[in-house]
Amino acid sequence: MTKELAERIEYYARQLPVLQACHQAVQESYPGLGLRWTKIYGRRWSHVWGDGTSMLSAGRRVQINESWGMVLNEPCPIPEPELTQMVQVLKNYLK
Amino acid sequence: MNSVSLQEWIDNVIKPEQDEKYLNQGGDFVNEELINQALLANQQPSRTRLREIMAKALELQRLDPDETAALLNCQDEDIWQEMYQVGYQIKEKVYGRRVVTFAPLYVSNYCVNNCVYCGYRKSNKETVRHRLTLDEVEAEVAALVQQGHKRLIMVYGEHPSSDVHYMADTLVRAYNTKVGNGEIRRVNVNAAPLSVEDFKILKEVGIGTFQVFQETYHHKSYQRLHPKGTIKANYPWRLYSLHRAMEAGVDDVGIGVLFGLYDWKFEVMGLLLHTIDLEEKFGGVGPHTISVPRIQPAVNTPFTKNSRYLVDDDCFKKLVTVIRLSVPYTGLILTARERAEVRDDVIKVGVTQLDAGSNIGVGSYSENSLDYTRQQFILGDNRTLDEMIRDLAKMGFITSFCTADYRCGRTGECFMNITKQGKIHNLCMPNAILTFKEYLLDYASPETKAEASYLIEKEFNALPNEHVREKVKGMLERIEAGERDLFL
Repeated sequence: MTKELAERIEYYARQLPVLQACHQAVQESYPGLGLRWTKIYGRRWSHVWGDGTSMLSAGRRVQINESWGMVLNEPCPIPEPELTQMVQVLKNYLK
Repeated sequence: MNSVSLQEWIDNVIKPEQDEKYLNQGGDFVNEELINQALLANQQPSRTRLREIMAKALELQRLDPDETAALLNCQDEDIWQEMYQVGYQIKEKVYGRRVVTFAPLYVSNYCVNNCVYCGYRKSNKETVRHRLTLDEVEAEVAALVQQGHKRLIMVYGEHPSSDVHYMADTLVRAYNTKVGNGEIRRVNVNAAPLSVEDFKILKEVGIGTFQVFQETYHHKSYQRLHPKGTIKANYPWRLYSLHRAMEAGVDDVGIGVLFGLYDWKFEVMGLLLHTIDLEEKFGGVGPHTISVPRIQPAVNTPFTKNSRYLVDDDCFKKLVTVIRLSVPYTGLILTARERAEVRDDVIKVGVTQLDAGSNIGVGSYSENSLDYTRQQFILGDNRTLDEMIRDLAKMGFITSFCTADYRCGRTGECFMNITKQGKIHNLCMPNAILTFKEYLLDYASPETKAEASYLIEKEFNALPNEHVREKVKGMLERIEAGERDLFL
Protein backbone atom coordinates (compact mmCIF):
# COMPACT_ATOMS: atom_id res chain seq x y z
CA MET A 1 0.00 0.00 0.00
CA THR A 2 2.78 2.37 1.01
CA LYS A 3 4.69 1.96 -2.26
CA GLU A 4 1.53 2.20 -4.37
CA LEU A 5 0.38 5.37 -2.66
CA ALA A 6 3.80 6.98 -3.05
CA GLU A 7 3.88 6.06 -6.74
CA ARG A 8 0.45 7.54 -7.27
CA ILE A 9 1.43 10.77 -5.54
CA GLU A 10 4.59 10.96 -7.66
CA TYR A 11 2.54 10.40 -10.79
CA TYR A 12 -0.01 13.12 -10.03
CA ALA A 13 2.63 15.51 -8.75
CA ARG A 14 3.91 15.78 -12.31
CA GLN A 15 0.66 17.52 -13.26
CA LEU A 16 -0.72 18.95 -10.02
CA PRO A 17 0.45 20.86 -6.95
CA VAL A 18 1.63 18.41 -4.31
CA LEU A 19 -1.41 18.79 -2.04
CA GLN A 20 -3.81 18.05 -4.87
CA ALA A 21 -1.60 15.14 -5.93
CA CYS A 22 -1.88 13.69 -2.41
CA HIS A 23 -5.65 14.21 -2.50
CA GLN A 24 -6.01 12.51 -5.87
CA ALA A 25 -3.80 9.59 -4.86
CA VAL A 26 -5.61 8.96 -1.56
CA GLN A 27 -9.02 9.19 -3.23
CA GLU A 28 -7.93 6.73 -5.89
CA SER A 29 -6.77 4.32 -3.19
CA TYR A 30 -10.08 4.65 -1.31
CA PRO A 31 -12.84 5.54 -3.80
CA GLY A 32 -15.72 7.40 -2.22
CA LEU A 33 -13.69 8.54 0.77
CA GLY A 34 -14.75 12.01 1.96
CA LEU A 35 -11.54 13.89 2.56
CA ARG A 36 -10.30 17.43 3.11
CA TRP A 37 -6.98 18.94 4.00
CA THR A 38 -6.09 21.53 6.59
CA LYS A 39 -3.09 23.62 7.54
CA ILE A 40 -2.45 23.64 11.27
CA TYR A 41 -1.74 26.93 13.01
CA GLY A 42 -1.64 26.39 16.75
CA ARG A 43 -5.14 25.23 17.65
CA ARG A 44 -6.53 26.26 14.33
CA TRP A 45 -7.01 23.69 11.58
CA SER A 46 -7.64 25.86 8.56
CA HIS A 47 -9.44 24.36 5.57
CA VAL A 48 -7.31 24.51 2.42
CA TRP A 49 -8.44 21.80 0.03
CA GLY A 50 -11.10 19.15 -0.49
CA ASP A 51 -14.82 19.05 -0.69
CA GLY A 52 -16.20 21.02 2.21
CA THR A 53 -19.72 20.92 0.79
CA SER A 54 -20.52 17.29 1.45
CA MET A 55 -18.65 17.06 4.76
CA LEU A 56 -21.69 17.31 6.92
CA SER A 57 -20.61 14.76 9.47
CA ALA A 58 -18.08 15.64 12.11
CA GLY A 59 -15.23 13.74 10.50
CA ARG A 60 -12.11 12.27 11.98
CA ARG A 61 -9.10 14.52 12.44
CA VAL A 62 -5.78 12.98 11.47
CA GLN A 63 -2.62 14.97 12.10
CA ILE A 64 0.07 14.35 9.50
CA ASN A 65 2.78 16.54 11.01
CA GLU A 66 3.03 19.89 12.79
CA SER A 67 1.76 21.79 9.77
CA TRP A 68 -0.71 19.52 8.03
CA GLY A 69 -3.84 17.63 8.94
CA MET A 70 -6.65 15.86 7.15
CA VAL A 71 -10.26 15.27 8.05
CA LEU A 72 -11.86 12.00 6.94
CA ASN A 73 -15.56 11.42 6.62
CA GLU A 74 -16.96 9.01 9.17
CA PRO A 75 -17.32 6.13 9.30
CA CYS A 76 -13.72 5.96 8.11
CA PRO A 77 -13.23 2.97 5.77
CA ILE A 78 -9.45 2.84 6.23
CA PRO A 79 -8.19 0.22 8.67
CA GLU A 80 -6.05 1.70 11.43
CA PRO A 81 -2.71 0.13 10.36
CA GLU A 82 -3.21 1.38 6.80
CA LEU A 83 -4.04 4.85 8.08
CA THR A 84 -0.80 4.92 10.04
CA GLN A 85 1.13 3.88 6.95
CA MET A 86 -0.67 6.48 4.86
CA VAL A 87 0.33 9.22 7.27
CA GLN A 88 3.95 8.10 7.07
CA VAL A 89 3.86 8.39 3.28
CA LEU A 90 2.12 11.76 3.31
CA LYS A 91 4.73 13.15 5.71
CA ASN A 92 7.27 12.82 2.91
CA TYR A 93 5.29 15.14 0.67
CA LEU A 94 3.63 17.64 2.98
CA LYS A 95 6.25 19.58 4.89
CA MET B 1 5.67 59.84 19.95
CA ASN B 2 6.21 63.22 18.25
CA SER B 3 4.36 64.20 15.07
CA VAL B 4 7.29 63.53 12.71
CA SER B 5 7.93 60.03 13.95
CA LEU B 6 4.19 59.35 14.03
CA GLN B 7 3.93 60.22 10.34
CA GLU B 8 6.92 58.00 9.58
CA TRP B 9 5.29 55.18 11.48
CA ILE B 10 2.01 55.66 9.59
CA ASP B 11 3.84 55.68 6.24
CA ASN B 12 5.59 52.51 7.22
CA VAL B 13 2.41 50.71 8.27
CA ILE B 14 0.11 51.59 5.38
CA LYS B 15 0.75 49.80 2.10
CA PRO B 16 -1.65 51.31 -0.44
CA GLU B 17 -0.71 48.75 -3.10
CA GLN B 18 -2.33 46.06 -0.92
CA ASP B 19 -5.70 47.80 -1.25
CA GLU B 20 -5.56 49.10 -4.80
CA LYS B 21 -5.86 45.68 -6.37
CA TYR B 22 -9.26 45.19 -4.72
CA LEU B 23 -10.82 48.38 -6.05
CA ASN B 24 -13.73 48.14 -8.47
CA GLN B 25 -12.89 50.25 -11.51
CA GLY B 26 -10.82 52.54 -9.35
CA GLY B 27 -13.45 53.02 -6.63
CA ASP B 28 -14.12 51.22 -3.37
CA PHE B 29 -17.13 48.96 -2.97
CA VAL B 30 -19.09 51.44 -0.85
CA ASN B 31 -20.89 52.92 -3.83
CA GLU B 32 -22.87 55.68 -2.15
CA GLU B 33 -24.82 56.45 -5.28
CA LEU B 34 -25.96 52.84 -5.45
CA ILE B 35 -26.92 52.85 -1.76
CA ASN B 36 -28.85 56.11 -1.96
CA GLN B 37 -30.50 55.06 -5.20
CA ALA B 38 -31.56 51.72 -3.70
CA LEU B 39 -33.01 53.40 -0.61
CA LEU B 40 -34.82 55.92 -2.82
CA ALA B 41 -36.12 53.43 -5.37
CA ASN B 42 -37.51 51.06 -2.75
CA GLN B 43 -39.58 53.39 -0.65
CA GLN B 44 -43.03 52.20 0.44
CA PRO B 45 -42.59 48.56 -0.59
CA SER B 46 -45.78 46.55 -0.81
CA ARG B 47 -46.64 43.82 1.69
CA THR B 48 -46.44 41.27 -1.11
CA ARG B 49 -42.94 42.30 -2.04
CA LEU B 50 -41.75 42.33 1.56
CA ARG B 51 -43.15 38.85 2.10
CA GLU B 52 -41.39 37.61 -1.05
CA ILE B 53 -38.12 39.00 0.28
CA MET B 54 -38.74 37.34 3.66
CA ALA B 55 -39.35 34.03 1.87
CA LYS B 56 -36.04 34.39 0.04
CA ALA B 57 -34.22 35.05 3.31
CA LEU B 58 -35.87 32.03 4.87
CA GLU B 59 -34.37 29.94 2.06
CA LEU B 60 -31.02 31.21 3.38
CA GLN B 61 -30.26 33.24 0.28
CA ARG B 62 -28.35 36.46 0.69
CA LEU B 63 -30.43 39.47 -0.29
CA ASP B 64 -29.58 41.99 -3.00
CA PRO B 65 -29.19 45.70 -2.18
CA ASP B 66 -32.66 46.56 -3.53
CA GLU B 67 -34.24 43.91 -1.33
CA THR B 68 -32.42 45.04 1.80
CA ALA B 69 -33.38 48.64 1.01
CA ALA B 70 -37.02 47.59 0.75
CA LEU B 71 -36.89 45.95 4.19
CA LEU B 72 -35.22 49.01 5.68
CA ASN B 73 -37.97 51.22 4.28
CA CYS B 74 -40.84 49.16 5.67
CA GLN B 75 -43.31 51.41 7.53
CA ASP B 76 -45.80 48.70 8.37
CA GLU B 77 -45.51 47.59 12.00
CA ASP B 78 -47.41 44.36 11.32
CA ILE B 79 -44.84 43.43 8.70
CA TRP B 80 -42.04 44.27 11.12
CA GLN B 81 -43.57 41.75 13.52
CA GLU B 82 -43.45 39.19 10.72
CA MET B 83 -39.84 40.08 10.02
CA TYR B 84 -38.94 39.51 13.69
CA GLN B 85 -40.49 36.07 13.43
CA VAL B 86 -38.59 35.29 10.24
CA GLY B 87 -35.36 36.44 11.87
CA TYR B 88 -35.97 33.96 14.68
CA GLN B 89 -36.84 31.20 12.22
CA ILE B 90 -33.64 31.80 10.25
CA LYS B 91 -31.59 31.59 13.41
CA GLU B 92 -33.30 28.32 14.36
CA LYS B 93 -32.79 26.92 10.89
CA VAL B 94 -29.12 27.82 10.62
CA TYR B 95 -27.88 27.79 14.20
CA GLY B 96 -30.54 26.10 16.31
CA ARG B 97 -31.54 27.27 19.79
CA ARG B 98 -27.98 27.86 20.88
CA VAL B 99 -26.08 31.00 21.65
CA VAL B 100 -22.30 31.11 21.57
CA THR B 101 -20.80 33.00 24.48
CA PHE B 102 -17.46 34.75 24.82
CA ALA B 103 -15.67 37.40 26.85
CA PRO B 104 -13.87 40.51 25.66
CA LEU B 105 -10.35 41.01 26.97
CA TYR B 106 -8.96 44.52 26.54
CA VAL B 107 -5.21 44.14 26.36
CA SER B 108 -3.94 47.66 25.70
CA ASN B 109 -5.65 51.04 25.54
CA TYR B 110 -2.77 53.12 24.22
CA CYS B 111 -3.95 54.67 20.97
CA VAL B 112 -2.47 57.01 18.39
CA ASN B 113 -5.87 57.94 16.97
CA ASN B 114 -8.27 60.68 17.90
CA CYS B 115 -11.71 59.35 16.95
CA VAL B 116 -14.18 61.83 18.37
CA TYR B 117 -16.59 59.16 19.66
CA CYS B 118 -14.03 57.00 21.47
CA GLY B 119 -13.00 57.08 25.11
CA TYR B 120 -9.57 55.75 24.15
CA ARG B 121 -8.79 58.67 21.80
CA LYS B 122 -5.32 60.08 22.26
CA SER B 123 -6.51 63.49 23.41
CA ASN B 124 -8.70 62.09 26.19
CA LYS B 125 -6.59 62.84 29.24
CA GLU B 126 -9.12 61.32 31.62
CA THR B 127 -8.44 57.81 30.34
CA VAL B 128 -5.88 55.88 32.35
CA ARG B 129 -3.57 54.06 29.92
CA HIS B 130 -2.21 50.62 30.41
CA ARG B 131 -0.71 47.83 28.32
CA LEU B 132 -0.83 44.39 29.92
CA THR B 133 2.41 42.54 30.50
CA LEU B 134 2.39 38.87 29.56
CA ASP B 135 2.02 37.92 33.22
CA GLU B 136 -0.95 40.28 33.49
CA VAL B 137 -2.47 38.70 30.38
CA GLU B 138 -2.16 35.35 32.10
CA ALA B 139 -3.82 36.69 35.26
CA GLU B 140 -6.69 38.14 33.23
CA VAL B 141 -7.18 34.94 31.25
CA ALA B 142 -7.05 32.86 34.45
CA ALA B 143 -9.81 35.02 35.93
CA LEU B 144 -11.94 34.45 32.84
CA VAL B 145 -11.27 30.72 32.75
CA GLN B 146 -12.42 30.54 36.37
CA GLN B 147 -15.76 32.03 35.30
CA GLY B 148 -16.08 29.18 32.78
CA HIS B 149 -15.19 31.03 29.59
CA LYS B 150 -13.70 29.13 26.66
CA ARG B 151 -13.72 31.85 24.01
CA LEU B 152 -12.16 35.30 24.07
CA ILE B 153 -11.98 38.32 21.89
CA MET B 154 -8.78 40.18 22.62
CA VAL B 155 -8.93 43.91 21.91
CA TYR B 156 -5.96 46.17 21.20
CA GLY B 157 -5.67 49.92 20.71
CA GLU B 158 -3.80 51.11 17.62
CA HIS B 159 -0.31 51.96 18.80
CA PRO B 160 3.28 50.97 18.01
CA SER B 161 3.52 49.39 21.47
CA SER B 162 0.72 46.94 20.62
CA ASP B 163 1.99 45.86 17.22
CA VAL B 164 1.52 42.45 15.66
CA HIS B 165 4.40 40.88 17.59
CA TYR B 166 2.90 41.99 20.89
CA MET B 167 -0.47 40.66 19.74
CA ALA B 168 1.07 37.31 18.83
CA ASP B 169 2.89 37.04 22.16
CA THR B 170 -0.25 37.82 24.14
CA LEU B 171 -2.29 35.33 22.11
CA VAL B 172 0.21 32.58 22.76
CA ARG B 173 0.16 33.35 26.47
CA ALA B 174 -3.64 33.30 26.49
CA TYR B 175 -3.74 29.92 24.77
CA ASN B 176 -1.17 28.49 27.17
CA THR B 177 -3.00 29.55 30.33
CA LYS B 178 -4.72 26.66 32.10
CA VAL B 179 -6.61 26.60 35.39
CA GLY B 180 -7.89 23.23 36.61
CA ASN B 181 -10.13 21.77 33.92
CA GLY B 182 -10.36 25.10 32.18
CA GLU B 183 -8.59 26.83 29.34
CA ILE B 184 -9.33 29.23 26.53
CA ARG B 185 -9.90 27.27 23.34
CA ARG B 186 -10.49 30.02 20.82
CA VAL B 187 -9.09 33.54 20.76
CA ASN B 188 -10.56 36.02 18.33
CA VAL B 189 -8.98 39.42 17.82
CA ASN B 190 -10.37 42.92 17.42
CA ALA B 191 -7.60 45.25 16.42
CA ALA B 192 -6.41 47.83 13.95
CA PRO B 193 -5.94 46.98 10.27
CA LEU B 194 -2.78 45.04 9.48
CA SER B 195 -0.78 44.40 6.35
CA VAL B 196 -0.87 41.02 4.61
CA GLU B 197 2.55 40.22 6.10
CA ASP B 198 1.38 41.00 9.64
CA PHE B 199 -1.82 39.00 9.21
CA LYS B 200 0.34 36.01 8.33
CA ILE B 201 2.14 36.37 11.67
CA LEU B 202 -1.17 36.28 13.54
CA LYS B 203 -2.38 33.34 11.49
CA GLU B 204 0.66 31.33 12.53
CA VAL B 205 -0.30 31.53 16.22
CA GLY B 206 -3.77 30.18 15.53
CA ILE B 207 -6.21 33.05 15.86
CA GLY B 208 -9.92 32.46 15.52
CA THR B 209 -11.71 35.34 13.83
CA PHE B 210 -10.12 38.71 13.08
CA GLN B 211 -12.50 41.64 13.46
CA VAL B 212 -12.15 45.14 12.09
CA PHE B 213 -15.17 47.43 12.26
CA GLN B 214 -15.39 50.19 9.68
CA GLU B 215 -17.17 52.40 12.27
CA THR B 216 -19.03 54.18 9.45
CA TYR B 217 -19.15 53.37 5.75
CA HIS B 218 -20.15 56.94 4.89
CA HIS B 219 -17.05 58.54 3.42
CA LYS B 220 -17.61 62.13 4.53
CA SER B 221 -18.66 61.16 8.04
CA TYR B 222 -15.63 58.90 8.27
CA GLN B 223 -13.35 61.81 7.40
CA ARG B 224 -15.10 64.08 9.89
CA LEU B 225 -14.87 61.63 12.77
CA HIS B 226 -11.29 60.46 12.16
CA PRO B 227 -9.06 63.55 12.07
CA LYS B 228 -6.45 64.07 9.38
CA GLY B 229 -2.94 63.06 10.29
CA THR B 230 -4.04 59.95 12.18
CA ILE B 231 -3.59 56.48 10.75
CA LYS B 232 -7.28 55.77 11.11
CA ALA B 233 -8.09 58.66 8.78
CA ASN B 234 -7.12 56.38 5.91
CA TYR B 235 -10.54 55.01 4.90
CA PRO B 236 -9.42 52.41 2.32
CA TRP B 237 -6.71 50.99 4.58
CA ARG B 238 -9.45 50.14 7.07
CA LEU B 239 -12.08 49.19 4.49
CA TYR B 240 -9.89 46.57 2.85
CA SER B 241 -8.25 45.22 6.00
CA LEU B 242 -10.30 42.06 5.94
CA HIS B 243 -9.57 41.52 2.24
CA ARG B 244 -5.92 41.53 3.25
CA ALA B 245 -6.65 39.16 6.13
CA MET B 246 -8.34 36.74 3.74
CA GLU B 247 -5.46 37.07 1.30
CA ALA B 248 -3.10 36.17 4.14
CA GLY B 249 -5.12 33.03 4.86
CA VAL B 250 -7.06 34.28 7.88
CA ASP B 251 -10.29 32.90 6.53
CA ASP B 252 -12.67 33.82 9.37
CA VAL B 253 -13.19 37.57 9.51
CA GLY B 254 -15.74 39.78 11.25
CA ILE B 255 -17.22 43.07 10.07
CA GLY B 256 -19.26 45.72 11.85
CA VAL B 257 -20.09 49.39 12.15
CA LEU B 258 -20.63 51.63 15.13
CA PHE B 259 -24.30 52.55 14.92
CA GLY B 260 -24.88 56.17 15.84
CA LEU B 261 -22.21 57.76 13.68
CA TYR B 262 -24.34 58.06 10.55
CA ASP B 263 -27.77 57.06 9.23
CA TRP B 264 -28.44 53.48 10.27
CA LYS B 265 -30.11 52.51 7.01
CA PHE B 266 -27.04 53.59 5.07
CA GLU B 267 -24.80 51.61 7.43
CA VAL B 268 -26.82 48.41 7.00
CA MET B 269 -26.46 48.82 3.24
CA GLY B 270 -22.72 49.29 3.76
CA LEU B 271 -22.51 46.03 5.71
CA LEU B 272 -24.33 44.26 2.89
CA LEU B 273 -22.00 45.68 0.23
CA HIS B 274 -19.00 44.67 2.34
CA THR B 275 -20.37 41.13 2.53
CA ILE B 276 -21.01 41.02 -1.21
CA ASP B 277 -17.53 42.31 -2.07
CA LEU B 278 -15.82 39.74 0.16
CA GLU B 279 -17.97 36.98 -1.32
CA GLU B 280 -17.20 38.11 -4.87
CA LYS B 281 -13.47 38.31 -4.30
CA PHE B 282 -12.96 35.24 -2.14
CA GLY B 283 -14.94 32.46 -3.79
CA GLY B 284 -18.21 32.97 -1.95
CA VAL B 285 -16.67 33.37 1.49
CA GLY B 286 -18.02 36.46 3.21
CA PRO B 287 -17.71 37.53 6.82
CA HIS B 288 -17.85 34.87 9.53
CA THR B 289 -19.65 37.33 11.80
CA ILE B 290 -21.33 40.70 11.70
CA SER B 291 -21.28 42.84 14.85
CA VAL B 292 -23.77 45.57 15.66
CA PRO B 293 -22.16 47.83 18.28
CA ARG B 294 -24.23 50.90 19.08
CA ILE B 295 -22.55 54.01 20.43
CA GLN B 296 -22.53 54.18 24.24
CA PRO B 297 -21.44 56.83 26.72
CA ALA B 298 -17.72 57.10 27.45
CA VAL B 299 -15.74 59.13 29.97
CA ASN B 300 -15.14 62.72 28.81
CA THR B 301 -16.65 61.98 25.37
CA PRO B 302 -19.68 64.24 24.81
CA PHE B 303 -20.10 63.15 21.19
CA THR B 304 -21.52 59.84 22.41
CA LYS B 305 -24.57 61.70 23.71
CA ASN B 306 -24.78 64.44 21.10
CA SER B 307 -24.53 62.63 17.79
CA ARG B 308 -27.51 63.45 15.58
CA TYR B 309 -27.58 59.85 14.37
CA LEU B 310 -28.13 58.08 17.69
CA VAL B 311 -30.29 54.98 17.16
CA ASP B 312 -33.22 54.32 19.49
CA ASP B 313 -34.10 50.85 20.76
CA ASP B 314 -36.89 50.31 18.26
CA CYS B 315 -34.74 51.17 15.24
CA PHE B 316 -31.91 49.12 16.71
CA LYS B 317 -34.09 46.01 16.81
CA LYS B 318 -35.17 46.71 13.24
CA LEU B 319 -31.67 47.10 11.91
CA VAL B 320 -30.52 43.87 13.56
CA THR B 321 -33.51 42.12 12.00
CA VAL B 322 -32.72 43.43 8.52
CA ILE B 323 -29.10 42.31 8.83
CA ARG B 324 -30.32 38.86 9.96
CA LEU B 325 -32.54 38.58 6.90
CA SER B 326 -30.02 40.09 4.49
CA VAL B 327 -27.17 37.71 5.32
CA PRO B 328 -29.01 34.73 6.81
CA TYR B 329 -26.04 32.36 7.11
CA THR B 330 -23.62 34.68 8.94
CA GLY B 331 -23.10 34.83 12.69
CA LEU B 332 -24.52 37.90 14.40
CA ILE B 333 -22.89 39.34 17.53
CA LEU B 334 -24.68 41.50 20.09
CA THR B 335 -22.44 42.72 22.88
CA ALA B 336 -22.89 43.84 26.47
CA ARG B 337 -22.77 47.46 25.31
CA GLU B 338 -26.53 47.00 25.24
CA ARG B 339 -28.73 46.95 28.33
CA ALA B 340 -29.92 43.55 29.51
CA GLU B 341 -33.53 44.18 28.49
CA VAL B 342 -32.45 45.23 24.99
CA ARG B 343 -30.30 42.13 24.60
CA ASP B 344 -33.04 39.83 25.89
CA ASP B 345 -35.40 41.29 23.31
CA VAL B 346 -33.06 41.59 20.31
CA ILE B 347 -31.53 38.16 20.70
CA LYS B 348 -34.84 36.72 19.55
CA VAL B 349 -34.55 38.25 16.07
CA GLY B 350 -31.55 36.14 15.20
CA VAL B 351 -28.47 36.92 17.28
CA THR B 352 -26.01 34.02 17.49
CA GLN B 353 -23.25 35.27 19.80
CA LEU B 354 -23.19 37.24 23.07
CA ASP B 355 -20.51 38.23 25.51
CA ALA B 356 -21.20 37.80 29.20
CA GLY B 357 -19.54 38.62 32.49
CA SER B 358 -17.71 41.31 30.56
CA ASN B 359 -15.36 43.85 32.04
CA ILE B 360 -13.69 46.10 29.51
CA GLY B 361 -11.22 47.94 31.74
CA VAL B 362 -7.66 46.97 30.90
CA GLY B 363 -6.57 44.63 33.71
CA SER B 364 -9.93 44.65 35.46
CA TYR B 365 -10.85 40.95 35.48
CA SER B 366 -8.05 39.87 37.78
CA GLU B 367 -8.69 42.81 40.10
CA ASN B 368 -12.45 42.29 39.92
CA SER B 369 -12.77 46.07 39.65
CA LEU B 370 -15.00 48.44 37.73
CA ASP B 371 -13.13 51.55 36.58
CA TYR B 372 -14.68 53.69 33.85
CA THR B 373 -11.43 55.57 33.28
CA ARG B 374 -9.87 52.39 31.92
CA GLN B 375 -12.80 51.64 29.61
CA GLN B 376 -13.46 52.58 25.99
CA PHE B 377 -17.14 53.08 26.80
CA ILE B 378 -19.63 52.13 29.52
CA LEU B 379 -21.27 48.72 29.40
CA GLY B 380 -25.03 48.34 29.54
CA ASP B 381 -25.33 44.69 30.59
CA ASN B 382 -23.35 43.74 33.68
CA ARG B 383 -24.75 40.26 34.19
CA THR B 384 -22.23 37.61 35.16
CA LEU B 385 -21.71 34.68 32.83
CA ASP B 386 -23.65 32.48 35.23
CA GLU B 387 -26.59 34.91 35.35
CA MET B 388 -26.57 35.26 31.58
CA ILE B 389 -26.65 31.52 31.08
CA ARG B 390 -29.55 31.23 33.50
CA ASP B 391 -31.49 33.98 31.74
CA LEU B 392 -30.85 32.42 28.34
CA ALA B 393 -32.05 29.09 29.66
CA LYS B 394 -35.30 30.70 30.82
CA MET B 395 -35.77 31.84 27.21
CA GLY B 396 -35.08 28.33 25.92
CA PHE B 397 -31.55 29.00 24.62
CA ILE B 398 -28.64 26.70 25.37
CA THR B 399 -25.29 28.42 25.86
CA SER B 400 -22.52 27.04 23.70
CA PHE B 401 -18.81 27.20 24.40
CA CYS B 402 -18.11 25.21 21.26
CA THR B 403 -14.80 25.86 19.55
CA ALA B 404 -14.73 22.73 17.40
CA ASP B 405 -15.24 24.25 13.96
CA TYR B 406 -11.91 25.97 13.67
CA ARG B 407 -10.16 23.00 15.24
CA CYS B 408 -11.68 20.59 12.70
CA GLY B 409 -10.96 22.49 9.51
CA ARG B 410 -14.48 23.87 9.29
CA THR B 411 -13.21 27.34 8.39
CA GLY B 412 -13.56 29.75 5.49
CA GLU B 413 -15.03 28.12 2.41
CA CYS B 414 -15.79 24.85 4.21
CA PHE B 415 -17.64 26.56 7.07
CA MET B 416 -19.53 28.83 4.70
CA ASN B 417 -20.61 25.94 2.47
CA ILE B 418 -22.05 24.01 5.39
CA THR B 419 -23.68 27.08 6.90
CA LYS B 420 -25.28 28.19 3.64
CA GLN B 421 -26.94 24.79 3.46
CA GLY B 422 -28.34 25.34 6.95
CA LYS B 423 -26.47 22.28 8.20
CA ILE B 424 -23.97 23.70 10.64
CA HIS B 425 -26.18 23.11 13.67
CA ASN B 426 -26.04 19.35 12.99
CA LEU B 427 -22.49 19.60 14.22
CA CYS B 428 -22.70 22.58 16.51
CA MET B 429 -25.68 21.55 18.61
CA PRO B 430 -23.98 18.34 19.80
CA ASN B 431 -20.92 20.41 20.64
CA ALA B 432 -23.09 22.94 22.44
CA ILE B 433 -24.56 20.15 24.57
CA LEU B 434 -21.10 18.78 25.40
CA THR B 435 -19.59 22.14 26.32
CA PHE B 436 -22.67 23.16 28.29
CA LYS B 437 -22.39 19.94 30.27
CA GLU B 438 -18.80 20.87 31.11
CA TYR B 439 -19.93 24.30 32.28
CA LEU B 440 -22.68 22.87 34.48
CA LEU B 441 -20.27 20.44 36.12
CA ASP B 442 -17.34 22.81 36.60
CA TYR B 443 -18.66 26.33 37.05
CA ALA B 444 -22.44 26.69 37.36
CA SER B 445 -24.07 27.99 40.53
CA PRO B 446 -26.72 25.80 42.17
CA GLU B 447 -29.41 28.17 40.83
CA THR B 448 -28.15 27.87 37.28
CA LYS B 449 -27.86 24.11 37.55
CA ALA B 450 -31.46 24.02 38.68
CA GLU B 451 -32.73 26.35 35.96
CA ALA B 452 -30.62 25.27 33.01
CA SER B 453 -29.88 21.54 33.28
CA TYR B 454 -33.12 20.66 31.49
CA LEU B 455 -31.56 21.93 28.26
CA ILE B 456 -29.13 19.03 28.07
CA GLU B 457 -31.92 16.44 27.92
CA LYS B 458 -34.15 18.60 25.75
CA GLU B 459 -31.55 19.30 23.10
CA PHE B 460 -30.14 15.79 23.27
CA ASN B 461 -33.57 14.32 22.54
CA ALA B 462 -34.01 16.79 19.67
CA LEU B 463 -30.83 15.68 17.87
CA PRO B 464 -32.11 14.39 14.54
CA ASN B 465 -29.47 11.75 13.83
CA GLU B 466 -29.50 8.54 15.87
CA HIS B 467 -25.82 7.85 15.21
CA VAL B 468 -24.90 11.32 16.49
CA ARG B 469 -27.16 10.83 19.53
CA GLU B 470 -25.35 7.61 20.40
CA LYS B 471 -22.00 9.31 20.07
CA VAL B 472 -23.03 12.29 22.20
CA LYS B 473 -24.47 9.98 24.84
CA GLY B 474 -21.11 8.26 25.18
CA MET B 475 -19.28 11.56 25.33
CA LEU B 476 -21.62 12.93 28.00
CA GLU B 477 -20.83 9.87 30.12
CA ARG B 478 -17.13 10.46 29.63
CA ILE B 479 -17.51 14.12 30.67
CA GLU B 480 -19.40 13.00 33.79
CA ALA B 481 -16.43 10.72 34.49
CA GLY B 482 -14.01 13.63 34.32
CA GLU B 483 -12.86 13.92 30.68
CA ARG B 484 -12.97 17.37 29.08
CA ASP B 485 -12.84 19.00 25.66
CA LEU B 486 -14.70 16.30 23.74
CA PHE B 487 -16.18 17.45 20.46
CA LEU B 488 -17.49 16.35 17.08
